[in-house]
Amino acid sequence: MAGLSRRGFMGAVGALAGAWAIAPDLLGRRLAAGATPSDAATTLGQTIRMTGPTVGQYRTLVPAAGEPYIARLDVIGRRADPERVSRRRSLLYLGHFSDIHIMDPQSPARLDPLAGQDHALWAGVVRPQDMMTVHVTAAMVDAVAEARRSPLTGAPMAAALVTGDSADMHSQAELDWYITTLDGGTVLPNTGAPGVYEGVQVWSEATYAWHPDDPSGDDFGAYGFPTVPGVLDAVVRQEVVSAGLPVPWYAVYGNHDTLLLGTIGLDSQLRALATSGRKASLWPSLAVEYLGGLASTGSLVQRGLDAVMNAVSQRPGIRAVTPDPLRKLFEQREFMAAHLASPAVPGPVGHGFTQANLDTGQTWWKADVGAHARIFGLDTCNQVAGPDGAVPADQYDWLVAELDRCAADRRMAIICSHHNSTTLENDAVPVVGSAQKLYHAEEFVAMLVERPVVVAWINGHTHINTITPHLRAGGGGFWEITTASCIDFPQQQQLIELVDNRDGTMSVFTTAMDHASDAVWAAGDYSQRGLASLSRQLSANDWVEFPAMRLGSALDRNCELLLDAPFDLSTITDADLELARAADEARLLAYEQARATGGQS
Amino acid sequence: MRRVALLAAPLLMVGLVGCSQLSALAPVSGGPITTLRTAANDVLLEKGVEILVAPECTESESTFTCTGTTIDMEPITVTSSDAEATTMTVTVGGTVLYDGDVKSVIDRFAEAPQ
Repeated sequence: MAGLSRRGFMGAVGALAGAWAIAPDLLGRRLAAGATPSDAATTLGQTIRMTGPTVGQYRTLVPAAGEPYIARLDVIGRRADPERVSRRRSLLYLGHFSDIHIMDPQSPARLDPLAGQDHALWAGVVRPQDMMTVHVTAAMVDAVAEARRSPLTGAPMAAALVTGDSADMHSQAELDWYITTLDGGTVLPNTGAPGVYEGVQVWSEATYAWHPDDPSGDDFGAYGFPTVPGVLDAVVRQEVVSAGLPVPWYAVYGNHDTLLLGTIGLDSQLRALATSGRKASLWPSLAVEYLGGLASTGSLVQRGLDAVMNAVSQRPGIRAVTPDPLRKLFEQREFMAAHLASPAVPGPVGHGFTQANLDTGQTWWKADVGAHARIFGLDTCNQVAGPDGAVPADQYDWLVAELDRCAADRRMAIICSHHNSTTLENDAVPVVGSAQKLYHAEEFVAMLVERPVVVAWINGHTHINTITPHLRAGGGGFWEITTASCIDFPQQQQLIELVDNRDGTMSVFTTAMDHASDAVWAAGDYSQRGLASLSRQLSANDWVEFPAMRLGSALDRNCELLLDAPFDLSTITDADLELARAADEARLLAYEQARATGGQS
Repeated sequence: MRRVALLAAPLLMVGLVGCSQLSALAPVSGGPITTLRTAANDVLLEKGVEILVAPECTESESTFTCTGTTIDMEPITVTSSDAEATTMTVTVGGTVLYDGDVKSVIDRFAEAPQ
């Protein structure tokens, strides 16, 4: 497999250097030096674990030994050739984000008071780390940006995939903050009153929430959560600066980007509540406020609500807050429009969505990334109700046709969606109007597994590191890769690299990433990364759930996932890969040049 | 106040059930199968078992069974006979590698070694 000729090399360097405004000799030297594995901080070298053994008490976190790659053979069903290590060549190197859940916890549309009724039943409606999601995401962007060259092969990162649940509560503020943090820029994670936190974490009657200034009277203080005075003030007064991703990133819808809290259909009353000056602090009052929104038709619910209203002359548990139009609940198409309004760098404009998507309302897309891969960004979210998903017939039929085309084009297919194979089961359909068939996991996986061009299905949703083989009868199959989240412990995302083993097999390497903040939070550290570190520590102590489980096992984190090559990979020449690497290196050098000069490329 | 709570709770439930949203509002998470699978894999790796096919778990009538294969083609079997999969037995070939609590395995692997 011949590489680039000298003339071809020089031509590529000159063209790319011109396009990215970098010195040709800088790019030339970088490419001539060859790719060497990056020493960026990843969980290969060091990760983070809980102190122990003190289950049932507040615990801190500590650095822990890194985890080497484990070869998984489930799909090839045989031993791997040990000589592949010396032969492998990188085909594509990606970052993967999912479930970052950027959150505006001060929004009146939040349902946090429900935790006051039953923490277990309403687990996840309020978390102690809710106000630091921008800090965590910025720290994760930093970590992935640092690993912009592969820790395995040194290959430059080509793109990042974002598999949904980016805006936690469907608010415009969250949508703006998420895109800015990934694109690069500055976010002040506050809405409402400037410099003042107005929310359940400062209201004494909201005993179901952690009150960092004085937790002595709340459920979290009873568990042992610490006093962290002034942290809420720090959050709402300090800007978060994100350098942004160094590579183009592609996004799909998650259920939180589709429904309120990923579950509840939006209506005009709820939209009005979000931008109002009234926020519930106690669940009975939230129930009345919420049902007031639901019962707009004079239904049985409305009559019940009237009975409640007649039973009380006033409602405790409703606080006045500073209204903010930025808290408006966005429309489905506005999610795509916001992506289309983002800058060309890191790009792409639309982040997978195109003007055609906006014009037609079609919420799924395809994009060619790297020399021989095609990404399919699906929208598996149910627009009626429920957190889980399905694949509607129109999208399913589209994907079937596209995968067959992809095979003919000799491009490896990577499926991207929010939901995974354990959560494609939602049957909710509109009460009025026609409904198309909703494909569930069994049929969907069966369709994918019969198409060898599919090498990986990348997703999120469950906030748990999980790697699942899907086997074809008679041999072969593909890998499903589910990453954890930025909101729940362990707050990990991942790197994904496809390599050709040059023996008829290929491997998909997965590397879990901790965000770029210290494992040990130093009391009083309210810096940007300090708050990210604090967030991870708080998440590890979510006594309502089982944080340790979300790590998955070592078979779900740093792995080499072997599979049979989807087609004869020798048809991908070294020259093809060198050109792709040159393009990706040029982009990274421009990013580094811009950072060094304090600007944006 | 108490009267408000008593009346409003069912009303909220009615509102959510009417939208088929009550069960769905609970946050997504793993459930017993995920927990069992994770703990079983932790045990297998700790014991140095070379895995060809990692255990895949199914549930039937509140009994969980996971099956996989070692690189030497020995069967891996994981069983749990309670509805929440709180305990498990991990067997490779005819040898029992672990018989005990599930959650404590996961907790232990999430902790830094002492």
